[in-house]
Amino acid sequence: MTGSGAAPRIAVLQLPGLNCEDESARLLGVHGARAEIFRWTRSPDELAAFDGFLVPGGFSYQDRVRAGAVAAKDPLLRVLLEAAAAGKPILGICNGCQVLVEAGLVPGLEPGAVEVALAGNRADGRTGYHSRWVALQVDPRCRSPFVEGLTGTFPVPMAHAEGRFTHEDPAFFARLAAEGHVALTYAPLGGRTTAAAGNPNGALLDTAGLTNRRGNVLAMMPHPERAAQLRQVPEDLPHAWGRARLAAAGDFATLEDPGPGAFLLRRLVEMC
Amino acid sequence: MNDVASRTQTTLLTAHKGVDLHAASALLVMRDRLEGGDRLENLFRCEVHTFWGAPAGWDAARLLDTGRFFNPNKHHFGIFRGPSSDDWSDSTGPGAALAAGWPGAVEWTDLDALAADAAGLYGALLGGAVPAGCTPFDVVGFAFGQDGPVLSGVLWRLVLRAGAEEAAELGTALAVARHRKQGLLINPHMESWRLAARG
Repeated sequence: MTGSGAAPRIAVLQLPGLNCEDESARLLGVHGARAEIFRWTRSPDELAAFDGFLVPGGFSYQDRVRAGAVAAKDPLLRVLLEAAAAGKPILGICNGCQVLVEAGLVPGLEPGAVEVALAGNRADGRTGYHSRWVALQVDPRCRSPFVEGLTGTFPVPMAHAEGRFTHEDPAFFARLAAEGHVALTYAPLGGRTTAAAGNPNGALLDTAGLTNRRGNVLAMMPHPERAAQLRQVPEDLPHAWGRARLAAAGDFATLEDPGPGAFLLRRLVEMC
Repeated sequence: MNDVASRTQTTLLTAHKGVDLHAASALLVMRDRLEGGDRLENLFRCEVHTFWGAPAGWDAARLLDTGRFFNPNKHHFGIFRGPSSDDWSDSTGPGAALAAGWPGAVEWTDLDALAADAAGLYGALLGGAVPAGCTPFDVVGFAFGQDGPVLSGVLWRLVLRAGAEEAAELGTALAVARHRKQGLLINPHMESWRLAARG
């Protein structure tokens, strides 16, 4: 929390074509933040005054040129680079993840440099847009406060066409992982009994989320805000969270309990 | 993609009859936000599909019949054919030069007046005549790891207020996304690319 003990102010960026800002702001509010949807037409100086930032999912600028590429050039992203350097927490989800990659916030070896890519999905002989529930796990080498304390696997939905973390030299991702930049990886779920089988897009090292060196920026392709309450979890999901959801059927109070994705949103608030 | 010399390469270029919105957005962003972008006079875009080793008896009509690659109501097209000059294989590092003469001779186009003019058709699909004092700089990118007989990518033409020598350096800096402030069109971590100052 902020030094004053006041609720932290978190900006949820609204870029043209993003479409998850409303629920993201509401859920951050559930976890104690004063979340505000920040329209891209506002001054970058106003954005700099916030304590934390969320870049939500959607299709910024209709994915023109390449997902996230146009938004990455927006002056607001300069503010996020400065905020990252100052240690403020930043969470990018799905298209927000693509924007942070294209803007050079992650892995951020040289902040601002485009160091990896999110290429078109290519897995299991399938290309193009894909949507399903996946399981995630924390790479134990990652020291980011975003994922500190997360154990086991947790399910969240993914929904994207360009989510394949890649690099022309695959060894580069091994280096990133060794240095703790790979925060989240895909994990087995149900009949998909290996991490590789659980990988929905062919990402190198089954990578689902990257952090910067300091760990205060997390860019992830799956959607934690779509799994932030128990009621959002499918009853038939082959995971402990699915069984918990089934057990809560009809119990409307319990269904409002935090879901598997709530941890990351809460942690964004706590890191401010 | 070995054994290049023994195969023919058929290339389909398609261009919007109206405004290509990818190019329109990219033009504005590059002008306003990239170093050197104020030298960008215009920007045009074609989709590229390269077909390898067309079998005997194959003709371009079959390509159109698929209806998969473009909408003839919305796009101009050119089908070019020539000896293989480039395998477009995954290459990293600085982009190689776009082969002279690529994409070959015209096989079919909806722009009938240019059916016998490969250079004219190629230029027409990329915005037509270049203003005096400008140099066209072309960049084509293909995502790594495509397999199968069809490779798909994007061809960009940057019309730069610069001479040919300067255009190569400026065009590369504007096209290849190395930094938030430098380059937009190609992400070198997922695409191989070829480039050339032409015209």
